[in-house]
Amino acid sequence: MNRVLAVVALLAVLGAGWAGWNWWQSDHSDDVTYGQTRDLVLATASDQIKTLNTVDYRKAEDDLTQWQRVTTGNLLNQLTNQHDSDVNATKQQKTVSTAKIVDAAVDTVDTRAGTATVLVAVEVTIRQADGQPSVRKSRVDAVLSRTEDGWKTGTVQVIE
Amino acid sequence: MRAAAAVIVVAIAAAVWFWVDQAPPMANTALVDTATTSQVKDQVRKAVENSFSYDYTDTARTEKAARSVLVGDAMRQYEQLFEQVRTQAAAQKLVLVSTVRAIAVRELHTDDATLLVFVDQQAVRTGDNGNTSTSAQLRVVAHRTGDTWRVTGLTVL
Repeated sequence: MNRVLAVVALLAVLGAGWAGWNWWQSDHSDDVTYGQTRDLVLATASDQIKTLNTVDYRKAEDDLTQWQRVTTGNLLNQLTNQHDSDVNATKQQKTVSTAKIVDAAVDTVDTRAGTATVLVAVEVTIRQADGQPSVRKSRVDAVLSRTEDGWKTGTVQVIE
Repeated sequence: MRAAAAVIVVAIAAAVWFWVDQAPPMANTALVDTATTSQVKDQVRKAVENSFSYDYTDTARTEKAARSVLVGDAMRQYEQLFEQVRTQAAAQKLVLVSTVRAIAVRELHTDDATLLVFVDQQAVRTGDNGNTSTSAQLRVVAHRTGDTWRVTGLTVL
């Protein structure tokens, strides 16, 4: 009787160990974390491309500062250098630009290098001064890099 | 004896908890499954390029290509998109060349995939030497049978 109980106890412990291993794997395997990174990159790129196409001359300073917050590398340098002239131009032309992400898909993610490329189809509506709003559909290839503050857009290439 | 019983109870409780708390199996394997991701990208790229390229001197080739890779809803959507081209093709001596500029897989679930495709289309009217380029964004839904992906849905974005 004692021996039977001992065997059952051992089996129960092994079973618990196996269940524990599966539980750990279900949330921590390389594939799972890679998939989570892909989803994070997709959501981040969509948000950032939307941000980078959104500006309202009534709060140009805030909006264009936001552009700098979501970018890194060359794009950040460029936006920083032209920030003041961008603010002025936006106010002068009374530009209001809004963007809608039509679709997006991650093309590559390199978790080791911390880089990713994302295709984004975006619809941008721009109104200047008292003119009629114009709607433009564009296709974007965005390159993101992992920074201390999370993923940020380093290059935006519009595919003409 | 009592110790063994306690171990059994604790171990079973732990196993049940681990089992209940387990994350669901990963649904979307786009990019994670690299082999299937590149397989569907390659095949959908070819399917789109062949179905949307057209030479007025050899219209059968396009029809055949389209029929072999497009099914169901995609075929109906394709017919609508292409009807105009077909009626103008002969009169204008039209040659259409479609090129996929970029393609990425958004969702992949075993034999089903959703892709975003950026296409360029160049039309040459050899009749009057006119030349126009257009671009389009497509959402493509594809289904795999065996090793072959076929396009089941086409949406112009």
